[in-house]
Amino acid sequence: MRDRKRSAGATPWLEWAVGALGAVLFISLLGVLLANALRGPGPAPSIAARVEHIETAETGHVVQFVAVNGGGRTAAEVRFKADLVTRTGVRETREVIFDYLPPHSERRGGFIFQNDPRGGALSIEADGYVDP
Amino acid sequence: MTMEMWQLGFVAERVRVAALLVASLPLLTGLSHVAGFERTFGLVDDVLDAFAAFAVAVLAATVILGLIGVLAPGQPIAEIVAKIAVVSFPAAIGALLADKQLGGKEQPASDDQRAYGGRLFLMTIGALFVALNVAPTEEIILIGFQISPWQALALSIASLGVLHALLFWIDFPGVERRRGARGAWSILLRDSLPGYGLCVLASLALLWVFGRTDGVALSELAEFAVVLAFPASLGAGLAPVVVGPKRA
Repeated sequence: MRDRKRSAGATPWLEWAVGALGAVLFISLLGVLLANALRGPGPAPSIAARVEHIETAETGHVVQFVAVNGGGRTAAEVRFKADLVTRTGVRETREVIFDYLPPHSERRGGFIFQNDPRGGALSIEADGYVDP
Repeated sequence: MTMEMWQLGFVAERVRVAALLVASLPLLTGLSHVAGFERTFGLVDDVLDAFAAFAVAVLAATVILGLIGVLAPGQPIAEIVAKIAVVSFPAAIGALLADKQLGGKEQPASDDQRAYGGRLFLMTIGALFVALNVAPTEEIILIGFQISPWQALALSIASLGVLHALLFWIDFPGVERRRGARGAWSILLRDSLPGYGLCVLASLALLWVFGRTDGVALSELAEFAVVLAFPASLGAGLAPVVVGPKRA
């Protein structure tokens, strides 16, 4: 490339093209970042969890769930608590912590119960979080 | 590639990531100029080189982050963009240097040493390149909490010593000439000390970009900077070697 450049005495079109591509990428990245920054900090994390499905494994019953942050800010160390009261009245509580729950994003996890949650009353709630 | 690097995508403040991006452009352009083999080609060429390196970096970052599952469909655009932006600066430095190292031809014979400003600039780039990969990690902060002020002092002296030793002893081109003309003290005063100062400044800037300076007491901040300046000074000391081998 350099040879051609030297002999032609001008910058070859390929360099212009790649340079232009870089400029476009640069400006678009910057644009998205600044547009986001100008919007300011979004509304507080709004965290919800819903059960996806329940599986029975050898070591227990796994409740697979999705955590969704509908707010505008990232929540770190989000703690979820699951409270189960089975049909027979047995009570079990479980906890799980998600490292990060970015805004408008989903993360998946599971609770492991000894008793079958199917048919019982199961609630999953977010306890709290840390600002990253 | 560390976890912290891509977590920055949704943790770091957008304005600061944008600031890093903006700062990267003149730095890359300068690097293209200082490390370049073609001094005759002017600013336009260096800017083009910088943008080309940036394009390569963004594409490579997108592919690699995609391959290792850091980028996934369904993530908000802002998060994806921030992840790519954070990684693209060190990647672009790599791309530029690779081009100079592997694709470049012999340096046209030129007798002048690299100018003093150019040397300091290269040290800054080396410091940033190494520190960028370490700055976001939790360990820097942890070490900062662990060490006593005396250890921090010793660490900063050790960093300066390492930087000085690299600049003085390593056989990079032009060094014989320089060693002949200038002794260890001259290098210490003219290169090592200012170089270490630049390492500390680069460290502080990166700590700010990654939100590590917020709400931190001055004494703690100084320790963070000293800890980060240690790897930075390794980068600063080695940068002239990595960039300059053909400059015999």
